[in-house]
Amino acid sequence: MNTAFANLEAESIYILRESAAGFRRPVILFSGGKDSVVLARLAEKAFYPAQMPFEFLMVDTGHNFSEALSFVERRMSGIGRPFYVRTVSDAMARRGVTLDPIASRNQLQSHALNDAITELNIDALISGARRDEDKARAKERIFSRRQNPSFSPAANVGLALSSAKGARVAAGWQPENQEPELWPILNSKLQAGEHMRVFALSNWTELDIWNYIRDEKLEVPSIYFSHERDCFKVGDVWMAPVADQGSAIKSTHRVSGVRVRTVGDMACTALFESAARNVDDVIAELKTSEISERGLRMDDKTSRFSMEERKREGYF
Amino acid sequence: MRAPKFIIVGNVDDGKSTLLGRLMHDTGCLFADQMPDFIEGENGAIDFSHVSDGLRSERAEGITYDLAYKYIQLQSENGQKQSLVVIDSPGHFEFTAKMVAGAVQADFAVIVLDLTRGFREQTQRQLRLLHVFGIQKFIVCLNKIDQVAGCGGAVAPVIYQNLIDEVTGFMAGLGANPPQFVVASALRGWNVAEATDQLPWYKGPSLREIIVRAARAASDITRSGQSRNVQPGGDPIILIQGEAGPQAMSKNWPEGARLFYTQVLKGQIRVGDTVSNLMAGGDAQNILDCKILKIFCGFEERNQVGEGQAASIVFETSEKSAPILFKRGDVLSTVANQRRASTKNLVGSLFWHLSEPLAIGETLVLSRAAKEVTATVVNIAVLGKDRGASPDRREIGRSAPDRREIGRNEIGQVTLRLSEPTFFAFSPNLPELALAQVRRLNSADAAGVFTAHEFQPVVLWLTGLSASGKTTIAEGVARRLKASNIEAHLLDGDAIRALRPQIGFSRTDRVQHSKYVAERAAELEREGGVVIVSLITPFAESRDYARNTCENFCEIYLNTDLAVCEGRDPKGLYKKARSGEIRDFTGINSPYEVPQHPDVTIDTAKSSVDEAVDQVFGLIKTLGIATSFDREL
Repeated sequence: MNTAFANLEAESIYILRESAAGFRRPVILFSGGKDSVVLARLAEKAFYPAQMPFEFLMVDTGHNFSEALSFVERRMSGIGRPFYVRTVSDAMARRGVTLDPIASRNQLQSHALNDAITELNIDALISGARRDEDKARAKERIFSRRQNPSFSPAANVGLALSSAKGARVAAGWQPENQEPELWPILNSKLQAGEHMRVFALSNWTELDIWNYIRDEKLEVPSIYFSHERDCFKVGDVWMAPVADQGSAIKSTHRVSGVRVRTVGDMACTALFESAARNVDDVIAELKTSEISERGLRMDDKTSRFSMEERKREGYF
Repeated sequence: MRAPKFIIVGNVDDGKSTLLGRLMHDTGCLFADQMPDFIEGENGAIDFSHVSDGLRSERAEGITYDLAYKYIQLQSENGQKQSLVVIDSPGHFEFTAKMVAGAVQADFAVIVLDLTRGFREQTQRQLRLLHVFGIQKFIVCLNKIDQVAGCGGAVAPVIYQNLIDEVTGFMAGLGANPPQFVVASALRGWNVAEATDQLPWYKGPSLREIIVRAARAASDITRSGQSRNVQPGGDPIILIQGEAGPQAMSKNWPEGARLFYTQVLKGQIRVGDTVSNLMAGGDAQNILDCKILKIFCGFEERNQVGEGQAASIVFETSEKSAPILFKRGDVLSTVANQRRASTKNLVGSLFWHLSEPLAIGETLVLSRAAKEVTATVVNIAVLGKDRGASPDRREIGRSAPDRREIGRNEIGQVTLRLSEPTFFAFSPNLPELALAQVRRLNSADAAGVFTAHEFQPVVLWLTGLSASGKTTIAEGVARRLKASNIEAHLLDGDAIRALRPQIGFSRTDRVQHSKYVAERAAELEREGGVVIVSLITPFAESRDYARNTCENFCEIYLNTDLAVCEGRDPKGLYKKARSGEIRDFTGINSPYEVPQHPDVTIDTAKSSVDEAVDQVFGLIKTLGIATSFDREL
């Protein structure tokens, strides 16, 4: 048995329209990364010539690549829909926690996200996360119910900062208890105190995303392409110093040809040496790559189950 | 283009996760940076089961808890890469519902079986469910051949062949397609990515080759539209997903034009086509045909749009004053006269996965794509597994059920009474319209999976003079239905009269008699039956009563000439009527009121029995009640 959708685009448009029909306040998570770029384009197409009913949300860790931030501003200013930015530093300030200027804030994004769910009364968060990214992502439904967060007190946040396992934020993922999803039927029923996570690009692969970016001539942040940058070496990869690290890093080098594979918090997103200067180069490089997409994400290296653990703790 | 999907299933400990890991490893689907994650223990050996079992608990228990999706590329013989999606499914009884959810998405299935342990109950349950939920291509991998002593020698092929015979026999009993077999060792990598020389007696291809060929077949067929058995150029089926608000309307569009978000599930539509709503449910006042004014695919305006595309469509009405009444979940087609395609009585297979069983009389919520409807469970039939039969469509009306409730992880045949007429496609190839997720009323939790059967309840009512051919045609239709494994109920006027000798032939008695037959027919229809009535039914009031009593009623008028009928006179009744021996004989001394709007008219003087039966099946097909859209009867 197979669905009629001839291609991934029709499948994603179907999911986006079901989200529009099924939820009161569906919000698209927009990071400026390649997946959210494709997602925003599909959302525009799904409702054309009318306007999409979605709003947009970005969680700002304060450690973003400036190229990514300026791209996000540019793209969102033309989308004609409300765009909210919520910051990790505000979320932590509310909890009375002072942030380590250098440490990765990837895990702390969950707090800012959860605060936004409460503040904006969001009942569906739509993301461009894909199943082929990671072994824990591979287990995701397209519609995935989750408990709404409750405000996590400072004491717990302190734990989260000090321990790799982290504090349990209420909005945890429980993979054992996921109900069977009967594609193409998407169950938008929520019980009181729940919201939905929607993965509209579930079946796209990294290569599909880049092929679509090429075919649709979509703009992506320039850090996806080979460029010059001051970096420092960690093991066998390069990292870019976060802005407020300043002179704390002793030995940065001017590296002539580096790029990123994913757009994330600078403190956990490694760069690698590459000559890929445009989308075609990226696609060619990808076809022969020996490294997985998230192989350069330091946040996935804390343990064998780091993605699963973060999601159980309320990460998207 | 979408990559073909296959589901991989196996009983716990039959080696499914190891086989999948081995396949991905040996075909270069794993990345160098992921390898340390798969290494287990001090000697640094790869544990292949870690590749797909990504959760901490899965690795700790050695059991797959939940579906995982893997996106891989396999090399074909000509060196090309075939993209595939693997749906890795749990095999444990506890998680059977997750396997069903995987099965409904898959183009084909790989079933892993430990040949040292034989063909066990859980594997049989899995195969039965895969079959009921639409899998048509089965690849059975007989694993762990390396554990058979002297597996290269003479004993192993015998074990292998015996198991093939056993599984093939079981599948034949289900009415499923015969599987393709491969023998392998996941642990040693024999016959997984490449054919092995360790088993000289096995001459077949490796699992990889078999999978690539199945994928090719699936994607070739998808390209030409035949995998879903859809004939190119056939009637289009369009699903309404939603409507844009009035502020989205352009000033250049005519008054009353509306923009709807749709998916073209089948066929093709063009600007200017007239469509009708298949959800209108026979109420003539609800039918408003609309014309397609504009089609948008993404940002592009087009003249036509084909199968598998998402389209935003602007419709305009023929009457300016009447608003367009399409709702989310409605189904449109360009075919006229399909207004009764929606039904309130629905028959199908239901897989149940809650621990509290489903009983007759319960109210359920059925969600199919973009549509929710409540339904009362009118009837349940669960067949015993010792019969080896799957409770699928071929069992309708055939054997007495063993039980009237459906327990956890069981499948039964159900008859549902829907709260409103709803369009279901009765086809495994249009899952958007054939499948529904089931919940108990007032619960958000999924409870079961429903798939509509190909044949739906209907009453075929043959009216006409004595000896016009009603019984002959009724029996012909029943015979043809039986060839499709449908046991129809035959209600013959004469046979029923024999049981009710007190009924005479006066107008009052005739009206009362046909009323009685109509009520029996409606009862059988509600229970999910296909009912064929052959009764003179000379009076319009009787036929109207039957039409109003039955849900899906088809009036078939045999307009064979009186002279022809009288010439046939097989029981000598006309002779007796002419001689005055019988009074109140229709056509002689009692009137026959000719039907004004029969669904089909057949003159048996001009057509053979076969042709007449063809005409009846043509009607069934046009009405879309009792057949799938995509199968020739």
